[in-house]
Amino acid sequence: MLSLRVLLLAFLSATSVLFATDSSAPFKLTIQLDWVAEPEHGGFYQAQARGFFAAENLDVTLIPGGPNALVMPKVATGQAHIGQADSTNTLLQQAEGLPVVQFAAVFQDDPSGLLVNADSSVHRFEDLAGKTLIARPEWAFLPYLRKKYGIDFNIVPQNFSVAAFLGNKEAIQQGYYIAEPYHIVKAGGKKPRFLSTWDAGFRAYAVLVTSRKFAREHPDVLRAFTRAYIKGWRDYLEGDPAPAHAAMKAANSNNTDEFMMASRQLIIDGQLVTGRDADSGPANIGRLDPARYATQIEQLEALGILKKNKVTPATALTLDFLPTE
Amino acid sequence: MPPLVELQNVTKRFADGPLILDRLSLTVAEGEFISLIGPSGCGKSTLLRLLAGLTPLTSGSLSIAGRPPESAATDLSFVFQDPTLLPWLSATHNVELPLKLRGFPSPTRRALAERSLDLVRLRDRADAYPRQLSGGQKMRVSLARALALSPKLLLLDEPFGALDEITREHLNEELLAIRDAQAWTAFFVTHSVAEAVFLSTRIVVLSANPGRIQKIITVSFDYPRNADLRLTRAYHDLVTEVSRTLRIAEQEPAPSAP
Amino acid sequence: MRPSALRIFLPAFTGALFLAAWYAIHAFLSEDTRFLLPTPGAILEAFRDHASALATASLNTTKGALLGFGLAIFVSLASATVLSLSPLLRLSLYPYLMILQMTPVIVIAPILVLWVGAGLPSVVAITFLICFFPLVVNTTQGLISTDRNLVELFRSYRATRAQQLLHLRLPAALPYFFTGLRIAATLAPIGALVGDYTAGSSAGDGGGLGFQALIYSSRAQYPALFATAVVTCILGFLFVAIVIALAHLALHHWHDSFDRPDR
Repeated sequence: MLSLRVLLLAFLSATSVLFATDSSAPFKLTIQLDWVAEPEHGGFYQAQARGFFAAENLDVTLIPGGPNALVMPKVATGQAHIGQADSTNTLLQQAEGLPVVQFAAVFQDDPSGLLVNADSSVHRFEDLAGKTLIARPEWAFLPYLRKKYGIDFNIVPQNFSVAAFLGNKEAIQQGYYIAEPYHIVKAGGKKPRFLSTWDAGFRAYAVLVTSRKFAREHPDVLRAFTRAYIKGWRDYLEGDPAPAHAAMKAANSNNTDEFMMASRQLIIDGQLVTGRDADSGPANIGRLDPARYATQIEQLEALGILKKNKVTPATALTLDFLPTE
Repeated sequence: MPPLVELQNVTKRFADGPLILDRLSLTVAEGEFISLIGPSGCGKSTLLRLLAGLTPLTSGSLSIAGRPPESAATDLSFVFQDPTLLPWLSATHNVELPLKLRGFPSPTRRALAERSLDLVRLRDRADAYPRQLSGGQKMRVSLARALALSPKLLLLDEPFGALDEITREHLNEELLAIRDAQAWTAFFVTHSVAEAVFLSTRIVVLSANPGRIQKIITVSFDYPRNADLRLTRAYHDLVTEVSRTLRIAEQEPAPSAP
Repeated sequence: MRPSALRIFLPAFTGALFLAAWYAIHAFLSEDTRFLLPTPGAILEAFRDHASALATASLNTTKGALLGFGLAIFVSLASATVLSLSPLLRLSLYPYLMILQMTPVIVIAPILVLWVGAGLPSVVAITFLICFFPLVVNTTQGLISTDRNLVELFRSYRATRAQQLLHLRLPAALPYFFTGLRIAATLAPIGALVGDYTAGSSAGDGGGLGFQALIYSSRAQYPALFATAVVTCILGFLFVAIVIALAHLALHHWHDSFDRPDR
């Protein structure tokens, strides 16, 4: 109920913001991150710190998220222009009629999965039956697991703190393998095992989304942004990440150099940004593959998770703002 | 016949306060109807409460049927100025209250309550709740409650004071009728001389500050008394005499008892 | 038109106007913003589609609310009785009761989750806390405010303290208790929902309406979210209505507050 009131207020303020822009001055762009500033946002922070956004005449504000990040409502109502999200969750929401569109990839493969204690009795997905999972309720992977393995489990909405995980040997928690395991070890726990969504045959992107309205009205801004963003990622991964890390530290005091370097290395080693398929490489940064979407939509509709005939690759994503080959 | 109530030099003072009652002595035989009348502050209500054992004596002695008031609880009933009915109980259950508190079984309680309500002629309203009853009716229930255990001593503190003249006169007549049916002794506090004369065998006129007995006037009209009594000359003369004594009590209080 | 007919016709007419306005606004909204206000039809459809989830959730919320409510009644009656018997205890404890009452439950909720566990235990705990204070404060007040005359009456019967409590103070305190109960009844569903929202889980048969609201809002299923809100309203209304009916049953035959104006 709270979020809906926020939506209505946000919508009113957003429309006035849009009217206030002037074409010669830098375009003010608001970006809602899905979590606190971490190396998963390397593209943004490097592009901003190295002036790539400014060079494209963009004045970018990065709003870090957190446990209560309302990315989708903010983007759908225009309170933020761009948001970072999970591609599959977005598909489900698009099927509900949310007027957003996916336009660029963050990670070619989303590093989400289930963190499991080193001493836990759970080793395979089937072992999750009857257990309690601490996860975001809207995670599309959850009904996927239920349907695919024919199991059921309890969900407790979580705030991504590692405290509950440390206190309970049988705790199972959603997390990013490039971040949470490090924090858990640093907090004194044993290195957790990780059940990756890929191992269950679930392939999602981490994507950038925008409202359909903004896509209609400001295609050039989005193109400019995407160019700078891709450049930012490339620079962050291949060059010196110090500018981005300095900005991330400023945004989130919990970021240590050790953590950020470790996380970045995992991103590089896992080829998360450049891709793990045959077409991997710098040219692949930010690209979305409609064929992959088609496969996943079919998969989810067959499992009864996605409402049938509500989304197609043509309506869910757009390649219009990616740099042409 | 030994007296039912004996007061000897009864004195009452509250904490560090003024003297309320100063060495009262009085002997009351069974069957008497004693009215206590006097100006405000003469301690008539306090005297009643001493008799009921609701407050202790400061000095002197007080016995009811040969026992101190604290242990005479079962022999007496107190009728308050306010009907003090429990609003959530019907008339019958209100009358049954003292019986219930004393552990009487349900059928006995019911029988005694019905009989009591018959006495005050309120049987037809037995199931009514206090808020459905008039002031006079509530007082009758209060009376019925007091009479349920057939007490030896009935203590009444201005019970009809809040009612209108006509209702009051009717209740006076009813009270005497009940007295004919049951044999109890009464101490009756009132502000109304006419009421005192109509009801009593003896009237104790008190003076105030401190409370002392000004004069005791005997009422020699025969029982049963009825409404016609109020029309007689003798009645009016007695009312005048008591009123005069009352006036004197206000203006020239009696000196301390020897 | 007769007054009794008006009483039905006028609200019905206003309701119809309201529905028409709702559809009009929805049609007036652009493609991009239509999702903000689902039509009544869409909400009805959501009711059908999510009927079993909403039914289970309602049952769970009711369960949590009733348990917390019941526990609060029980504990508050016991506490009020103890407090009414000792002025010393009252003086010692009242300030802390007041402080605890002021503390917003939403702030305490995460701590409660840690202590009693997520799911039904937290829901019951939060509902209990939110209902306890109005009940204990009102009932204690009722127990110590007994009419002095009636207390004197009982003294004149040499009634024991226990008799006084059972036959006088407790019945006399009933109107006060019901005042507290009415307040607690409006709070219990809120407590259950807040508990569910902050600490709910799908454990057992699933979470309650608060948990459902969380899920629907996180999945952008807004018609279902509206449907949840409607169910919540109905539930809250029923809760209070039942308590008011109980109060009426217990009090109407004797309490002044039920006097009709013509008496």
